[in-house]
Amino acid sequence: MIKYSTAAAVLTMAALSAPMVCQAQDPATAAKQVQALVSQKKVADAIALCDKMIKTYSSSKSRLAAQFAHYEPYFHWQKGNIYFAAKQYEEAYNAFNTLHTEPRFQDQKLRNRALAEKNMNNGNGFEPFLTASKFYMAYSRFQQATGDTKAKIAGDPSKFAPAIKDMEEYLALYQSGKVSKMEKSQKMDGKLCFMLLQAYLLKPEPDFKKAAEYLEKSRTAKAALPDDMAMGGLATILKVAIENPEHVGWVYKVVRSNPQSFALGPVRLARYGTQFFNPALQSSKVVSASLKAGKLEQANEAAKTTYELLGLTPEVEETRRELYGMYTQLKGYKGAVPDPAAGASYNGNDCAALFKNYDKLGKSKTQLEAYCILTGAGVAQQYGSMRMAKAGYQILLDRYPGLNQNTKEGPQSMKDKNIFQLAQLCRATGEEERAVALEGKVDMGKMGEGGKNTLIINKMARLTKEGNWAEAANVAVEVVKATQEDKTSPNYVAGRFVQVAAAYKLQKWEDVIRLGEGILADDVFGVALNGGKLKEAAATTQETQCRYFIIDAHQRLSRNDETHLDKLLEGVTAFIAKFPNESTLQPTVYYQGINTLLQRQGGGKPEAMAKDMEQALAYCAAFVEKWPKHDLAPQVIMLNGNILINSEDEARKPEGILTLQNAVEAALEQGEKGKNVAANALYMLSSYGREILLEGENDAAMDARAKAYVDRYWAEADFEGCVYSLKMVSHLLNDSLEKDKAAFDSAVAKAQEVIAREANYGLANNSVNEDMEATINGYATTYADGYKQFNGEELTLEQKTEHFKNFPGIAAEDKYTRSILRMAMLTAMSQAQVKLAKTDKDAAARMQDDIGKAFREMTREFQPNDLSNFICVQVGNYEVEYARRLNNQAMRDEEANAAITYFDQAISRGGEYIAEAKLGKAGALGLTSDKAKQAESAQMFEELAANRDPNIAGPALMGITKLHLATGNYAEAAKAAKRYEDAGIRVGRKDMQLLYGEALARSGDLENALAVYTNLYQDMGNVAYSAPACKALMDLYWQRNNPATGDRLQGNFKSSDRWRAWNTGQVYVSKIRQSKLETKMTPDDRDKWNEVVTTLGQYAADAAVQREDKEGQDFRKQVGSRKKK
Amino acid sequence: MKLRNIFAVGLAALAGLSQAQEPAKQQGLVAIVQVNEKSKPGKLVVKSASGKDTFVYYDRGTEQDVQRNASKMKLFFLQTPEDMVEAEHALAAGDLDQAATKLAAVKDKYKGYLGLDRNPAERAALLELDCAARRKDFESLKRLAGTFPHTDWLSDQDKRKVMSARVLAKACTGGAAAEVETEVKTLLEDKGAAMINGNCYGWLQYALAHVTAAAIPAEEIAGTISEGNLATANKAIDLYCQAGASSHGREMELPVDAMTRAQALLWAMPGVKEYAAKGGAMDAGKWGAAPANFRDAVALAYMLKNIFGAGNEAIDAAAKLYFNTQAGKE
Repeated sequence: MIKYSTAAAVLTMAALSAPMVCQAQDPATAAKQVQALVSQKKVADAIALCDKMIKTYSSSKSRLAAQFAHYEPYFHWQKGNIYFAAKQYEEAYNAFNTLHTEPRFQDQKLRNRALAEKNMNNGNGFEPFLTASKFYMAYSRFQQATGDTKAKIAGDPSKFAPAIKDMEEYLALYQSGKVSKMEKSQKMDGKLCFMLLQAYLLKPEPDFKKAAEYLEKSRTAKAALPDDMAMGGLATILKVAIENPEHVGWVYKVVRSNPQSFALGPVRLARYGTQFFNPALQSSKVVSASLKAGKLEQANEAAKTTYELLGLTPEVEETRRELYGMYTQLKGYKGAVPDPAAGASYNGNDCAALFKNYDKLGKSKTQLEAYCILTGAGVAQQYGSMRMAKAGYQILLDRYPGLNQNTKEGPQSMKDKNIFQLAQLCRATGEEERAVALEGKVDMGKMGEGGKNTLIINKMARLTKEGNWAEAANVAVEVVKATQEDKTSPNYVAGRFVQVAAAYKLQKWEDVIRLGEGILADDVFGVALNGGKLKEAAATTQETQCRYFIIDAHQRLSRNDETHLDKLLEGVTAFIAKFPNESTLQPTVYYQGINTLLQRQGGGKPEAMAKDMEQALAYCAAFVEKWPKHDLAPQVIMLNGNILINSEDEARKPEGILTLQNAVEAALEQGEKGKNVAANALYMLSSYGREILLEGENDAAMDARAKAYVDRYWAEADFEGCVYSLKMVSHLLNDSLEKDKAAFDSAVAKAQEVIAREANYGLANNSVNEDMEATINGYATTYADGYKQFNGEELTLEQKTEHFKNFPGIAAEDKYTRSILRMAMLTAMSQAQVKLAKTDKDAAARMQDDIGKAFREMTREFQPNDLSNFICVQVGNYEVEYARRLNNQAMRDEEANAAITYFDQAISRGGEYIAEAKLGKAGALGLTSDKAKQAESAQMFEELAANRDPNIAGPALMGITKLHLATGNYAEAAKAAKRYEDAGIRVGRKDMQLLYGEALARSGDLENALAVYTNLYQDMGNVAYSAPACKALMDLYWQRNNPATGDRLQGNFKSSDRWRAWNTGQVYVSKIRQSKLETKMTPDDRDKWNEVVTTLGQYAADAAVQREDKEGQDFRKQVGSRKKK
Repeated sequence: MKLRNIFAVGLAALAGLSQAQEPAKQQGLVAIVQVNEKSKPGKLVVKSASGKDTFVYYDRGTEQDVQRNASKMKLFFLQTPEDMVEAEHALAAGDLDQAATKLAAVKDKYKGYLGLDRNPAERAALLELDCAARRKDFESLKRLAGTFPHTDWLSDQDKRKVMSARVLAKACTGGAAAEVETEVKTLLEDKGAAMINGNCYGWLQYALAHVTAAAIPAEEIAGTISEGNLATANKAIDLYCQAGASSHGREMELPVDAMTRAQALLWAMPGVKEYAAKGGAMDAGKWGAAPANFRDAVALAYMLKNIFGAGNEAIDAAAKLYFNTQAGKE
């Protein structure tokens, strides 16, 4: 129910009826008595007296009635007024209605008689106010319709219809001027329109069109609405607006249409202002609901209403001071003080009571205007104006730091909540630093669970934004803990997701897989989506990223464990199946899949490899079809070409060339960002293009095409820092060899320029170009070849060393490149030494010394970390060989340990040549006298022996064999050598067979040792191995020393071991000499050969051997002469 | 018993009017007066004031002018004259030109009553400040605040209002930034800062914003704020927004102007115009990817146009790019 105390209207009408002067029992006296009874609150007596007077004047038989009949209407009017004031509206309505239903009351003569008594009733006579009674009929129905909360009278909305009917009739009378002067003086039309506006809004089916019509009419009326009517009407509009949000705009329209009525003076502001805040708050909720419902117009109307009502809400301190002034002035004055500006009146007591209220509000720090600012900020935030929202909270913090809110537990400080909100808004407007500082001021204990969670979640978001992943990972654990009760919460999902993301950023690949697969196993995204709180877009973003992180983690781990490749590809397949239409990460995942299939290649098994390649081609085709203009498209086309040119099927290779050409075009279309792919594709084309004929093409055309790729590379794809430029230098140089000297010189100059450019680029960017070493080494070879080709003579060693020492454009501080050049110089020296070794042993030995000096100079000039892995391994290996030649164990230990520092440098740095470095280190450890190091050496060799690469496994097994031989563990040495044999390793096979023979012999397995040596012995042309094998056989036979057995004549003669020892040598020496290999031997070979010859001489001098040989010769002679005979 | 109250108040109202009619025929202001505890309250016509607290009325009994001190009376309460009511109504209706004229007339007509509590001349002078600020007539504001009569007779609250008006006028008529900042700081640091109401606080924020924004070349505001002026622009935006939020819906002319200026600065922030120029219908993705300043500029423009009834070509254009991110939320 809503109270409708249209007091002003009542007052006006009632006032007119009040003062009457009459005699006892005559009309005037009766009227006076009625008034007195009303004053004494004797309503029933007053009514009874009215009825008595009515009966008296209405009796058709009474003479008195005939004389005083004109008084009767007046008492009906009075009766209605009394009932109305007593809130007996049905009775009031009937009393007023009588004036209209009784025809005699319409008699003008009767009315004239009543009006003629001017000295009565305050100069108005006994005016029955026929038209005014129509108003009161309407108003009685209106009151019945709305009810009265204070009087506990329930409203009956069905009464609005008759109220409207009577009110509109009265308005028509009023506007036509057919009302009394008194009524005209009250300027009622605006008020009547306002009441009709309310009635039309409040009736069971509101009629907004009619309401709008009366709103406009009320606006055009000049007089301000009576105070209670304005306030009560506004309350009506508020109620309707809240119940019918689509018409929420009525509130502000009413206020703006009647500005004078709502321009509240200080007292009215104090009296009514506080009533506007709650409706304003409710209206702001309509804003929120409307925005969420997508009803922008409705939201705008609600927002206007919200601000309008907030604007009517008083400021506590300002009002309190104003009231204080009035209170002190009017203190004790009980008379009514009219406020003509506001259309109201008040007295001293009103001001005192209001002052106390506002004083209390101020002291309890519950300033209404602060809540208004808060509400306004909330509305702005809903609209997305974070700056306005932030401004609101800033004002709260600056002006109302102690603001409280009333709760069931009493006033509670809002400070922490407001600081918290301000922090969030600072973050939203780019003031991250301030947001963090403000959040630091928030007392967590004063925040609710929601706020605490938000703080943790914000912290997590901030840390992720800042890239502080280590801390973010910790906070994400807290977020998960705080939100785990509701697994549909987006924050729970975010917490789980950030854990994975953080692990990924921190390169904790195993954690990425564990946490990521945990998320997928728990179906975290599915659960949250089903819960309806997580948006599909957010779920897709997070799940695709999560899956991508897992895929990429497998990729990283696959470098050391190829089993991850399978898991990676499973992830790719699952990703594509789950998100067939995803376009953000799916291209990357496809690309990852293609790369991985290329890497896995079926694990080396032909069928599986073919399958992988077909799958990769399918991914390539799908990628190009789906995202032809994607940044990765040229890369994918290039991989597609790469697969085709490496296909087992020769027929597909030309297609591969054409595909690579497409990749070049697609990449160059992308401008600068595509250059790298174009360079890669051109590099492949220039490499493979020389071997694959296109349809209808001859060799010359193919060759020209391949060279054109090289030219195009330098013209369009080359750029500083491009990893293919150094690789292309070899093509450039090789191609120039087929041209002329000018072309060669030009190519050399270009090669020098590119090498220097890339060296300087690496220096400036603190990066290492892995191809620098191979390029310089290749350059060294080609330069030497070209020099010889175009100058007719070879470069001297001095020219070579000079060339590399003074290589143009290399910065003095670029130790990496300079060490490679130095190594190239050493390589040249080594090559010269090898040549010398064939001809001049002394010269070769001197060269070897020079090489040794150069190496040792390198170790002084360059720290291990200056050197590439390759050079570290070279230097280390040199040290190992040097140490191996030393007899002094202490010196050997020192050199071996020095070597280890170079190997460790490469191992700790990672990258290429790690296995080689480990091999070297294992060898160096094995050379030391330290048992622990020897054990470590064995362990390292064992680990390396498991490597799939025979180039690593072979030397490892050889190292194990040597180590066991050196430590006298011959049986283990033989086992290691056997593993080598069984693995079918070819690398260093003959060296290994020598070791195997030694191991077998020393472990007592003489027969097998002889068999191994015999194999080597039989390949006599390979003196490096046949000579030591021969020598070993001779020694083994000699040492076994089995005597001759059997009888020659019987045919069961078996020579003695010593004769066999001598004979093995003499056959070998004889055959080598016959083959004239002796003249071609290297000094090393010759040394080994000489050992055989020497041993042969020793054994030949043995008497027993000579005797047995003589016997043999004799026997053969006898046998020969018999045969002749 | 409501019945009695309704009749009683009604009678009193009429009685009040009838009593007031007679003195009103004399020249002067009606005051409700009670001399002491023993006397009854009544009304008289005050002819003038004579300095602080002293008034003169015509005593019909002695037919002479009598001078009294208001503060020595048990009750002295000046009633609002009709012309003041009209001026206040014009101000409430937002007819600021008419209000300015009427307020000036009231101030002049009743200047002889300055010194008495609740005198209409002082109230008119105070409301003139509001009116000038709402009209953004800062030259008038400067004049009115600078020539405010008898500021030493004002309450602390009203003194601060005059001081705030002076600062606002100074800031908006080329006053030195440093001076404005110092004066604002003094007013807000003062213990009486709580006596500054929301409107006046908004004036001070507007003043600070104005002098801050003045450091940014106009061509940058029309174009793009340079890197070197970004911090200044951000500060000005935040201050203008505070000026907009301070009054929480009351007398919105200056707050709306402040928000309009904040919007213009936001629109000039780097990347905002460029993002707007991308064209196409706005959707959640585009809105989410937009720079924060773009989103704020557009949201503010939308609110200015659709809630506060402000508008210019730039605001209209920006408001068209608005996207309701709340739609569909629960």
